[in-house]
Amino acid sequence: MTDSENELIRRAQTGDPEAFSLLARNYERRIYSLALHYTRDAADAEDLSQDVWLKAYKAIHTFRGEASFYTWLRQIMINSFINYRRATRLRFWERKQTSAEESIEHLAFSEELSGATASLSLEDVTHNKILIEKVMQALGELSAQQRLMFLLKHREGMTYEEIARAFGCSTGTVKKSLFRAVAKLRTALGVETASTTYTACAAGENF
Amino acid sequence: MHDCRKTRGALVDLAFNEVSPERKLSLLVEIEDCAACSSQYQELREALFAVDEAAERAHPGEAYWQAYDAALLNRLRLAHAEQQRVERHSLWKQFFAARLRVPVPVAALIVLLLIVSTTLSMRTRDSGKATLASHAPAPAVVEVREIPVVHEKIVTRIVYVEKKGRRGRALPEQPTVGRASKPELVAREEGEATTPLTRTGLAGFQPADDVKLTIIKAREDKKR
Repeated sequence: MTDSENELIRRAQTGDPEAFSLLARNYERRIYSLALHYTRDAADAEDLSQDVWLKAYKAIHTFRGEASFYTWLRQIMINSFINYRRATRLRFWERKQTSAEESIEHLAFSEELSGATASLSLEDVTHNKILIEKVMQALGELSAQQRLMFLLKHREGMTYEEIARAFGCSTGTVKKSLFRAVAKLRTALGVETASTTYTACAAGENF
Repeated sequence: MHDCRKTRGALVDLAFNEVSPERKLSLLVEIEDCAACSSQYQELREALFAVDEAAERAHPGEAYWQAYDAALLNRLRLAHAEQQRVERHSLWKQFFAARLRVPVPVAALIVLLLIVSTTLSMRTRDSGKATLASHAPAPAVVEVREIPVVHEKIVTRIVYVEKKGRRGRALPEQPTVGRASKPELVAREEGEATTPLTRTGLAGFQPADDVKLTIIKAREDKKR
């Protein structure tokens, strides 16, 4: 943590909302990106990420500085994502009506995302949209827990033990979940072309 | 001998960099020499790369973040105002919920003092009661005062008027043979001699419509 970040944290702990807002700007894009891949909907991602910041602001007085600010914030984010998953279960029947393609179209063609592609050619923009659609659709094949574990492992670089601690489960459960998640992603993204038959071979042996 | 099944089980760990450097090196050598394992690992890397590429491209523009920051700051200010309002109204709750950290010996001493003072105050109260009981009560000063009491004598007199017949003539007096004789009505007042009244047959008589009440007050000189 830098001195300026420490100062912002100290001011935020006295209840200064402007200081906390400045502190949030260092990490808001990272949190938003995770929320976007988790919810696969831009509007939900915005709401969820802002909820994470609101909870962090209300709990900032509990931050002791034993770990980094982002490590402390990430636990709040994980809990918020898990609670979001529980809340969306109640709206299951409403979401069932919305097909995966419709929600991805909303994501790919939303005004927020088109702003980032303004300087690219039409071909690049189309390619980006197709890629985003395909990845979001593939992520939709995973369960919420698999998706979150995958994002925490691949995008956040957390270890198996850290993920297990955050979820309150064993590392074996995390490994199994990630193995299945990656297998589903390979199938959904259409990169699975090799044979799955196992053959004993002499690879790696010195003759 | 290379076992593809075992190797592929470790591919995910390799892709997520969850293996030691030595194990990573040996795995990469095995993968390079096995086409099937190499293909599997390549697919895994491509899937992860696609996710990374999509994440890089799915970022909103700067205009979005300005609005996002403004909305977030607004929510933080509202939360801060709400927090301050709650703190102001919860002072009395804090007072009742306040916890005073006192060392155990000090707390025990305070409790002991409370018990001793309560016991002493109860003993003092009991001894006070005994002291009162052992002494004779102070003589009460009795003062007699005469309060004039107004005596009013109320005499109720019911006057029966002879009932008139249909033709306006008084009805004949009903014979009293066979009827039980009524005892003489006696007017009695306290402290006075009884005055006998004549027996009067009430048949044919009805109470008068007009009754004039007369309140007779006893004179004060009679009582003194």
